[in-house]
Amino acid sequence: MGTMLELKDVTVEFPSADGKRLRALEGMNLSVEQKELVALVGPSGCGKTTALNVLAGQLPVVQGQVHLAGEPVEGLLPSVGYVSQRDTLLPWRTVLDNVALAMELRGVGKKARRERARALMEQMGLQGFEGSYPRELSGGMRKRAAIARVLAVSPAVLMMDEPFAPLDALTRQKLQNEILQLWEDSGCTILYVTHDLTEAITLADRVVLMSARPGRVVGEYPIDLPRPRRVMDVKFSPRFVELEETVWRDLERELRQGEAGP
Amino acid sequence: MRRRSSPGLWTVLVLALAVCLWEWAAAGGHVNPFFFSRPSLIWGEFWTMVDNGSMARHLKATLEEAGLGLLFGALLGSLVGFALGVAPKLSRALMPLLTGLNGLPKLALGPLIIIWFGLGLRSKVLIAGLMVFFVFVFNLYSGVRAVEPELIAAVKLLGGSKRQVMGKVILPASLPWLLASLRTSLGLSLSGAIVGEYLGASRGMGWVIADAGERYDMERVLCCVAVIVVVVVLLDCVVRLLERLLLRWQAPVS
Repeated sequence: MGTMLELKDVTVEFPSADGKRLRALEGMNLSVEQKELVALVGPSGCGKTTALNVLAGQLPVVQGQVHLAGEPVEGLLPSVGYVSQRDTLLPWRTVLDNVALAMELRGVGKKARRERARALMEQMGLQGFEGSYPRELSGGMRKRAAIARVLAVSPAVLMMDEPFAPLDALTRQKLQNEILQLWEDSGCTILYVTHDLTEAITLADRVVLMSARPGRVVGEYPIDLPRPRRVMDVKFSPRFVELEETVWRDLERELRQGEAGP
Repeated sequence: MRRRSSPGLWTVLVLALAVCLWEWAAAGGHVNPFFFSRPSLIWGEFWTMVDNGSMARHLKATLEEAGLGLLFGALLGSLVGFALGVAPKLSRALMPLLTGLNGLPKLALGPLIIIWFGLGLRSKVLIAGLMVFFVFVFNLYSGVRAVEPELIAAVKLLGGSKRQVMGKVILPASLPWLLASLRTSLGLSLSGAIVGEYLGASRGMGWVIADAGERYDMERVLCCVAVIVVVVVLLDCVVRLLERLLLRWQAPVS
């Protein structure tokens, strides 16, 4: 299997309020194999989202190289599906037209895109809400619609930035199961950003730990829990607890450093 | 569920009470009908004007002027506001200028406009248009600026071009602002047309009011004022209906 995503010695800076430059990432190295599910964890503000945005072509780098499927990343990529924490369904569109949006932007005909959107909605358990507006849906359903929206154009890579953070625990668990299912079925590559260690270990093949700002990779933990996984079963296995403890010790150290400040 | 009397009912009740009080005061000699007229006389005048066709003629003239003014003012104002909203450099250059121009007392320009553009339709349309132009400029500008950047970023990530972002995000997102401007502008455009007629015309509600006022024909003055008020209220209802139809996606207010 080839490498799907790659950051090589990447540094990213932002202009800060006092006119100086804030270093968000420094010498970050990360590579994600094809069909791998990698979770990126770290203290808040460590640059997890920045790393994701660089890979999606949303942010320029000061130094280093960014590759997707062997090609250098320059600008936004159509083969990447991006699901963010914030709700970004267009409120004036029905759920069906929201799910069909990516296809519409690519010039797919109305009939074809609606047909596919309908099928995707059914797959995500949203049938019956085709004509509803996003505000009429629960948070979990809106998230499902947002996922269906990016799946519509069969992206090779799915990037998820704390997608389920605003949801309640039960809904989150259900959606985590659905992501596992989806990933097993579609064989796409997933890079999953989260601050929730339990979630990271439950889902991922490999957990990557980032340092406090400026962010770089300080640890990688292969998760050898058997597949296919079910969220509820995995959580109570002794191996899970072992893994969580290992990662947690290192994360705690980074958290403490993050609080102490640079 | 508790039964709720509709607010419309209360409006009608208060209005009816005021009219009765007015009629009673005028009939009893508590107020001078020469200056204040009487509801019953105004009602009679209304039917006289309807029967001889003058009401329809003058109302049509005023509505035509106000309507055309609103149309041009809204189109041009929306265009300018939208352009300024999506082009920060342009807005930095032009916004102070527009803010200054908006500060001008637009109705006070009326006499000048009448002199420049004549007594006919054109000057009234211009005054009405000028009244509403800035409402659309500033509202659309704010509307475009208020579009959530996350929505724009998301559509770009889904593969949207600049043009698609414009048409599928910024434009629909500013629709509520457009409709709000329209509601504000109904009364303003009518005021513009009426003041224009007041200053110099040979027809229209403003001209009738000016003409009747000079002759101390209070029935006619108040009758025309009442008709204008009713027209504005009715038009407002139409726009509100439009809002409800077009903005079904928004959470209902209150």
